Amino acid sequence: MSDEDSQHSLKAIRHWTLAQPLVSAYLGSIVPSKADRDGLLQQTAVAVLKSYGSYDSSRPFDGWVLGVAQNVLRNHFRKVSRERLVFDEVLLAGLAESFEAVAAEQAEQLDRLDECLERLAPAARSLCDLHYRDELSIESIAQQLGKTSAAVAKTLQRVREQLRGCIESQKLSGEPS
Amino acid sequence: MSENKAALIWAYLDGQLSPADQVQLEDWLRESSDHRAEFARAAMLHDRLRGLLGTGDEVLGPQEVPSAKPADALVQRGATLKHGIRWAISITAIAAAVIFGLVLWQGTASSELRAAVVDLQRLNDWSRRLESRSFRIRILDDRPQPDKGRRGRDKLEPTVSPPPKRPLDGALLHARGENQFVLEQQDPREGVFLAGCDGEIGWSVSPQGAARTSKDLNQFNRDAPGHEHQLPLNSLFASLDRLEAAYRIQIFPAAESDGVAAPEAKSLLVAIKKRGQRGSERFEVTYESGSGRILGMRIIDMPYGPRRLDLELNLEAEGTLDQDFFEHMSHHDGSHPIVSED
Repeated sequence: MSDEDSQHSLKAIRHWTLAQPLVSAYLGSIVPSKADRDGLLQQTAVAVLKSYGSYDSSRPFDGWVLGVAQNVLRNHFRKVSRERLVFDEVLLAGLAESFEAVAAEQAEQLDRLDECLERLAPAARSLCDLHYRDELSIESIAQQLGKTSAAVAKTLQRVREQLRGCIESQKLSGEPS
Repeated sequence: MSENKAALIWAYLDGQLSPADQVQLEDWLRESSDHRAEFARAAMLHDRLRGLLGTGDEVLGPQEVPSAKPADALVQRGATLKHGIRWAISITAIAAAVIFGLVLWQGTASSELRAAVVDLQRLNDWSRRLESRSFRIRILDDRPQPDKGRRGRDKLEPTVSPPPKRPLDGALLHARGENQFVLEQQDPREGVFLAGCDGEIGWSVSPQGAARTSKDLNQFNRDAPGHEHQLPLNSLFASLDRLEAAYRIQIFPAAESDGVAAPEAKSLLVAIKKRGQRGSERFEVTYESGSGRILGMRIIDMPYGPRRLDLELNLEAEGTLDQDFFEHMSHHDGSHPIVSED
């Protein structure tokens, strides 16, 4: 590999590394299965490297890479039977634009998420752990806790809104939000 | 945003939405870019929570890094990779794939990126050199295949069993380039049994029977570790696209002093089988950071006939074999019968 190729790869790597959380969230919002999302993310990484030469560096990388991800999604849905309803192409494109629009703001806010998780009450944190760490469905959690699915879903929604409020708060240096 | 719409978004992200609610959500998303931005924010929070709290079976924690060959420093470096990116890639430009795919895991620190790029370029260059290498195989564990799933498979399999596998413990695997190899196995009944490939013909030489040849290069490699994915181990990196298709690959570069790894420092590459793939559960490759020279490999939970093996291969010699060593004629005299299987 020549120095030029190596530099080219390094540029692609740096760009991709920064954009990857955004692409992951975008793909994950369309394809909820974590395994499917990982597979599509990997395909997007391949496509990004293959076509990085066509990227116009005067334009935002986030927009370009989300376009690549949309192509990967299109191919995916052509190949697999649609087990659940998915958004149509117009909506996929509209969502990609919105993801790009909030990317910078979210990158900053989500860096605070660790700290906000630490502030959660034990029961709320436990609920997050069951859902995200143990990957239990709402129904499984409800069974485990002896509650209804609706109650668990509602509580989890509130916890996540609480986290949203926390990361949006500017008073994070030791002050309660 | 109303609580009702927030509930729709979270139900969607949790995979709980009914088709009727999905239509409602779509209509709402079509109404305005503000709505779509709200959805994007929730999806990004959801994804980050998965990333932060998920155990991620694809990521090695520092305690999981194999302890046999690599230096302790590798283990410490492994810890810094925990929140890195976890995907490898598959492209035809393998050198670029190695660098791009593997380095993705190193996180965003540019010094780590650069170190890994240099490291992997060397590893790739070394793997492609046409020198012979000889690895001694040692079995670490040998156990029967678990019963799980075999019953169902047995029903579909032909009643004629394949011939028993020869023992691998103590065997020598010589390899050169991408597809030349000779596997020397000591068979208790026959003596030394050889299987190989010179790049154009696959062959086997039995001391008691005929030499067999085939234009199918994979015809006689069934005992060679890595053959499940047509991966003679010498060409592990030349065949990275095939390895990547079935494995998640993670690299633990050698520890650095003042930003530079010592030439003899050891790095570690770990490949963990993806769900649903056939073959060994895990490969571990230890190599010199400065030269990319592979020193040893471990293969964990390798299917071997009715058995599962953990084994290691240690580099014994380099560049010592003649050009014609990989041809079958070098391993028997002219009077030995030769049978073509084509």
